[in-house]
Amino acid sequence: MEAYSTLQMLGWLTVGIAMFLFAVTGGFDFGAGMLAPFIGKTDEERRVVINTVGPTWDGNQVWLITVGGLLFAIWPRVYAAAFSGFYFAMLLVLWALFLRPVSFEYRHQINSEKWRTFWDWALFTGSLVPSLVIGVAVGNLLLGVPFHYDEISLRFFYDGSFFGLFRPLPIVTGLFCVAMMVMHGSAYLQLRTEGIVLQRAKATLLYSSLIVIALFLVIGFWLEFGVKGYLLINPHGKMLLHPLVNHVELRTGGWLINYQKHYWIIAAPIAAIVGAVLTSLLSRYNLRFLAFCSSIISVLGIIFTWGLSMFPFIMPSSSAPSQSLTAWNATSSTQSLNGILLCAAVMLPIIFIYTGFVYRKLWGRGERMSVGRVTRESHNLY
Amino acid sequence: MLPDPSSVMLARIQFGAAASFHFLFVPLTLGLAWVMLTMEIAHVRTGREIYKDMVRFWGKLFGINFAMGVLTGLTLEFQFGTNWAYYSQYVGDIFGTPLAIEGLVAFMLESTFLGLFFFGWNKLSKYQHLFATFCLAFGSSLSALFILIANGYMQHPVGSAFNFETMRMETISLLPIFFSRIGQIGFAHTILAGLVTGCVFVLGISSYYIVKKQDLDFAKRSFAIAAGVGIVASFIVMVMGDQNGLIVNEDQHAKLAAMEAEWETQTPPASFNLIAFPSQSEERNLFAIKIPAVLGLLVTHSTDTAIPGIKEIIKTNEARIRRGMTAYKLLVDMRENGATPRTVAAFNEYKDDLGYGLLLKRYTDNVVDATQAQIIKASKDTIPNVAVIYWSFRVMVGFALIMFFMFIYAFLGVIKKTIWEKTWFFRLAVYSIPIPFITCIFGWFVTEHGRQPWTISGVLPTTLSSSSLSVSDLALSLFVFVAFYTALFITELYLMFKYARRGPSSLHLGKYHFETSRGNE
Repeated sequence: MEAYSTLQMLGWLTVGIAMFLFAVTGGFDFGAGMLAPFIGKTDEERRVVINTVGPTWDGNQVWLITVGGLLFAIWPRVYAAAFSGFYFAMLLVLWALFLRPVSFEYRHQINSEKWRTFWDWALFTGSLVPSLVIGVAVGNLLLGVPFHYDEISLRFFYDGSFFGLFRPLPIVTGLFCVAMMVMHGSAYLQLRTEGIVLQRAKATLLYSSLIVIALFLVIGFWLEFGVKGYLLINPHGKMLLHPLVNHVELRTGGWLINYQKHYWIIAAPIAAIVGAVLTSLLSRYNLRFLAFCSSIISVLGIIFTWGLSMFPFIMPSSSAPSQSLTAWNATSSTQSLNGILLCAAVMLPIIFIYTGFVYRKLWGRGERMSVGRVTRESHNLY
Repeated sequence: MLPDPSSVMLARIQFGAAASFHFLFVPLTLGLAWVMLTMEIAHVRTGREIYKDMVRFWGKLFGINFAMGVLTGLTLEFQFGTNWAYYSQYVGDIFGTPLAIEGLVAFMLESTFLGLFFFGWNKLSKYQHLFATFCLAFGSSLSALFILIANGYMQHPVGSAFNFETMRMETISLLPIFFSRIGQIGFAHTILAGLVTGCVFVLGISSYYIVKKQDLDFAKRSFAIAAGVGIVASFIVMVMGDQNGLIVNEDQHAKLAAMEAEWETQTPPASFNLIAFPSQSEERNLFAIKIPAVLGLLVTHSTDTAIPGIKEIIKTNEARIRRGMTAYKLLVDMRENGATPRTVAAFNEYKDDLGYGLLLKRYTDNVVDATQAQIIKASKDTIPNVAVIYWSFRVMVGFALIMFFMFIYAFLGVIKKTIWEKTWFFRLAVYSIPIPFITCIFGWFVTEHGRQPWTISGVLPTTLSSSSLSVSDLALSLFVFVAFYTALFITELYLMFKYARRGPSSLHLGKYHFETSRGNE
């Protein structure tokens, strides 16, 4: 059993890493997609924004698909509960995501202002809605989700409604998620562009990082004083995989108790704040690459602040707290975990190597996107 | 506590429609990538620019198609969770593994190199770009491998066992799951079908230019490559189809019997129903033209192996349903009153038939109190709709043969240089572009509808697999899907037609038909 709980921890970590990788790669695509209609006033300027992420958006978005696949494989019960419970929210994410591949691929195919403006806003929607709704979903996880299981068949029943998802805290976490994506997108744009687009990206980076810091603190205080966190009283007892028999206690500020137990994990929220402060500061002094790295650190900190605060909970149930889904009772069996973790351990370095190769080929000689370049290479770009 | 039957029906319609729609784009992605790689190899070996232009032009159409493949594939990954939650938690332990690995191993590779394929022409050496194209083609095919492995588990589950404490199937060993024969053969069959699709697509569009007398050199070279790859692919796809048949015969008796409308078990070698009008209610063919011995030879490759007929399968399954009732009774007892070594031992003896017991849930929620009539009904449910499967299968095979003969004619014509005057053939080739897509859909329909009434054969009935959603939830989501897909499909076809008509002139290289002879941008 000891070995199994290690595997469960590694499974939790793998999902966390995949979410982080999506947030830092897909994150700047989504950010750039949201910013394109504002940072770009003309078609050329918008094309500058779009072409900074153009050649790599697809690979980056695969991290989102991989997160979905890993949820399915590592936490099948969470995958089933979250996707069917948050039904229309998930479909909203999906329908919005539809707009992205076609916006990138179809926008440049026809040279008409109406056509291109349409796809600009499609890309905006396809980037905004998933960021917002994923943030709202996280807020709901923090509040607890109304669901229960049938005791014999373990069939899942969602007891809430779609509009019930939009409570105050989830709305704030939704906005926070959008701000994070915009910050990261700005940090990427200031790294890859020149001229007017660069100036505007620096400005949005400053504002969005300030919003990120402010909302991060607001949510932190909210969790300490205004939200009942969940506490697991029987840390992996006898029936490790049984979702019905947890002893769970609700306590205001409960989500922050992990930080009292393990001081070192405070590194996560510190990274979130410091990274956000540094990114706009460094960008002002034109240290663009370092500014982008700081934004990555901030995103890393944010994802793990969320995960570590809730640990071991993944999807707490507000209607039947004892049936909450945790890293202990939602995980796959030993053999499946072995297979996936082995695959992830082998593949992650390989993916880093070839993704690095692709980025080096595309941007290696300090290349930047500018209005001039978009005009020159018009037929070879998005 | 069964989901509402009409909500299950809506979930099935939604999944069937979404999967079929997805598979309008996937085969072209799979096949065209390898055709483009062939063209690029020609470019690298001969150094001729025209082959590079070919890769770039077909790549443009590839990109328009690829975007749709990506977004429709996303739907499927969501739908397992949104609409089939009970399925996902019941077999996610096994089914999720190949899906997660697919993302990490295959889809990532394909998608990362997609950008380099499009935007790397001026940034990479010839060989580096060839490598990028190879990764794109290899990655997309590898994707198909993992999806087919996951699908293979649904057709014939292996390497797993039911755990009564967690109420789900759990992996015993990953090896048999990943090396399942049905997954491997299904993969080869699918990839080759994709290749045939890609070849018919290139052949058809090139024929259009030949008919219109635009960019003839470009068109003839594309035509020749498509004909050469196509003749090989369309032959091997049938060989793989035959291999697939052998495995279906061994592991999925009900599906095979339905595909061939075999009601009675015949003394081997069984005769073949060339044409039949099956009647499910009367359990016989109202009309049939038979060829002696052919079926036995086809699906067993022997003269002395019997092929179980539908009536025999129903009998066998009736016995399994009765054992399944015992399994279910023991399961409920263990979950309500706790397990004892005695009940566990008893349950283990019956648990392989638990899925058959669950078939009765449709008729009685308690399962154990099923009447004789209900058991008979449930055992007849284990046979998919014979007429539909029988005819879908024949449509697939018929079209596959037509395409094979087309490629023979085109290939021989290219070799003998006689094809270029055969205008009728080029016209025909343009209109045959939809054929491979239809063939693929019918092939999948046989596979998936032929698996009914199960989502996981013998383990989990479809009626239990869906989420606990209301009919209105599913109706609304179905409506939005249809609206979205229709709008996107129209846009995609519009662009596809626009650029296919325009041809390589759309690359703006200044040397093709619309740029030189008429010069109208």
